[in-house]
Amino acid sequence: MTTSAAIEVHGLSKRFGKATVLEPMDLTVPRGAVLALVGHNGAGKTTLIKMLLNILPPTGGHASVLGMPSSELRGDVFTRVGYVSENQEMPEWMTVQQLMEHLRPLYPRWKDAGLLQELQLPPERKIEHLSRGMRMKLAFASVLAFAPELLLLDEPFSGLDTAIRSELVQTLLDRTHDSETTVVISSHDLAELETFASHVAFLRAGRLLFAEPMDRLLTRCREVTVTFAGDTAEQAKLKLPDGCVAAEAEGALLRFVDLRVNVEDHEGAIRELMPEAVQVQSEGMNLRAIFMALNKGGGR
Amino acid sequence: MKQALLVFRKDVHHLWQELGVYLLLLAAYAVAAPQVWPGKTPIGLLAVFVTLLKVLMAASWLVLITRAVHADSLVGDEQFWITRPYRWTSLLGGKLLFVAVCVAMPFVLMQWALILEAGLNPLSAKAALLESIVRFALNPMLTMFVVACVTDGLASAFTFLVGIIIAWAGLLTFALSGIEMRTSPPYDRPIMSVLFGGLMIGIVIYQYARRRTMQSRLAIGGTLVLFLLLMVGFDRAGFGAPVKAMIRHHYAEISSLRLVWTESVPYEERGPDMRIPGGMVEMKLPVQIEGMASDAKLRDAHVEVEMEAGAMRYAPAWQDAVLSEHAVGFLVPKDVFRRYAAGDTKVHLEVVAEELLPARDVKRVVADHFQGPMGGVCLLVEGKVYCRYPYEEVIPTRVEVSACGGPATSLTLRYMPVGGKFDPVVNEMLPIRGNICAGDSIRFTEYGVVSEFRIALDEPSVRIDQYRVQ
Repeated sequence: MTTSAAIEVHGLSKRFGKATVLEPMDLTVPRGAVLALVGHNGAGKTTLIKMLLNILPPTGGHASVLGMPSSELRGDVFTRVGYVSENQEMPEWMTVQQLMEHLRPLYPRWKDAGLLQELQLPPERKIEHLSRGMRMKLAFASVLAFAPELLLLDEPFSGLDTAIRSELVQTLLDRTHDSETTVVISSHDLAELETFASHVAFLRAGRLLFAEPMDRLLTRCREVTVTFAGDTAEQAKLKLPDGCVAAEAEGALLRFVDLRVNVEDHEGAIRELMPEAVQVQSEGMNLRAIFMALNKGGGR
Repeated sequence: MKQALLVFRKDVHHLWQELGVYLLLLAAYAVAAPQVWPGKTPIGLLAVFVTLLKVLMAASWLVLITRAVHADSLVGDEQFWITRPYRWTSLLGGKLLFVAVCVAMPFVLMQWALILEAGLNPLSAKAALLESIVRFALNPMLTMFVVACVTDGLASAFTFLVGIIIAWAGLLTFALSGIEMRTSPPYDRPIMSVLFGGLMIGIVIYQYARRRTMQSRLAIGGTLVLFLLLMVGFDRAGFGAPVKAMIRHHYAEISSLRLVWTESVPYEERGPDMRIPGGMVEMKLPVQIEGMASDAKLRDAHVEVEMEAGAMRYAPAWQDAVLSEHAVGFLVPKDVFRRYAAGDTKVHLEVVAEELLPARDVKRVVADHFQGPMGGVCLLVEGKVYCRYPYEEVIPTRVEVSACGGPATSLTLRYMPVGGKFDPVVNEMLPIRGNICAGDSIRFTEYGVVSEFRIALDEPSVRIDQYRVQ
């Protein structure tokens, strides 16, 4: 087992009764990576994170986290692993300061100096009186203070406004910029994720469709628009090779997403495939557009 | 330990209001309970208030224990603490420390205050004090702790607890034949305490170590079923053999004592001595124990009866018995009695009991306040003597007194169970006819256990129908 990976997953699966929530999957997250875990609601993102944290037992397969089996993750290991979730319960009766003081003795490395001010958290306010954004800030502060080697964030931006989202991302990046911290973050905010994630994993209906570096994904996925001389787009659509998804044909216009771009002259390659094309336009895509295309097209 | 203290400190900080209410209830009870002790002038509805306080104290235990456990709940997968560096041993240690320091200790201190208020020394009955603590810790508190471990809210804990009690009581009502549990001392309480206390502690440890709520709930159900099976097993003599073996091991056969058949029970002893449930009859067989000192008393008598007539054989488990000077009384199912009533029956009778002899003789002069038997104190109030003991099990004590200079009367104090009560002060009014005066001489003769014995008798031909209690 290599120690260069922060997370290694082999054949990991989860069933609740007869319902399969996660199909067997393999996944490797390198140390220092920021992995964006994307997928629709119910795709299995939260279940995967909870299995990695030993909150839920897997039905099959195994995972190692920071070099140890995930099933052994308990107690002192959590001085190296942080977790923030939108649904996580908090000790509501405590004030912000009390929570930080309660946690301090639990961690050998605890550096919260300036953290509350940085996140504009009122130390004397009770957690039960914090807004959703404030609660999430506090959750971030309570994990960033011990500089974890691995940070698992489950929908941390859900329901937050743009300003708070940006503030949290900035704090996260500032505190983890040493590249030693591995971050796994599940979120629907794809535009935000694209700005700082180094890797991306896509889950759909319990299946891991792919997991790869962000730049490779953005390179291999391009949106193509082909114009024909006559109304032949529908016929051309039928000839599209594997890896081309979300195809739409209307008259002389064919649009599709190519998920397997592996040549520099992509437009030239399309022209070779469709000699009758009058015009070919290949454009790069952002994460959100790829996500939409994958959901629409069902490709990988 | 550091983490356990951290958890403990957090829970105390969190629950200080509930703790305050609990301490107030204890204080109120410590003040109110002595006002309703026998010999005090009754004050309005104070007795009702004291009963209410008991209910509220028990409710406070449920609230405090449940809320402390639920502060770091074991149920669910979104709790704050489960992804923090808590060791489960420390977490459990912190919770147990809370129960010990904040729930049990104030209660014990309240009991001590009552004992001191009664003019008694709490340390004069260390074993009874320990037994009382163990009983409260095992029975209500550990049960509440177990329930809190597998629930995630006060309402669900309350519902779970009530559900268990109703199911348990209901099943026992249907399953038992009406005879009280037939397992015999001295093994029933220790066995039950160790077995079921151990099982409950095991469930708590398992739940803290693994957080497998469904399995833990099933284990609680399994424990209840096991308890039910044991009860029914003893009731129906299903586990007769091991129980008999244990009893024979504990009670030595004493050659100096002999159980003798005497043919008939004297008329004055033929009345019922036992509570007779439906479907049962009380039988009294004419036996006498020879070789016993004339001033000896017997306690905790149990009997094993085997009856054979032709191909029929009846051999139930050991059961409670009443041993008088000329007879031994016990219960038999009506249908069994009918089957054996007509013909000659071979009877094997085995009796176990504690033999007590006078151990200490003290003479006192009655005053408003004077030393009583068993480390207790007695008070003279309006011509009546009230004695108080700390936790203490009242062992048989003969009392002789000449009431206001009149003829001497003698009586024996009744047996009272130890522990298991909110108020640890055992109160007893000496039921002496007439009034007692200050200056009267009173003599207490305390009995002590000298032996636990077993004696047997085989009678080849008995007409069972002659020995039914009318």
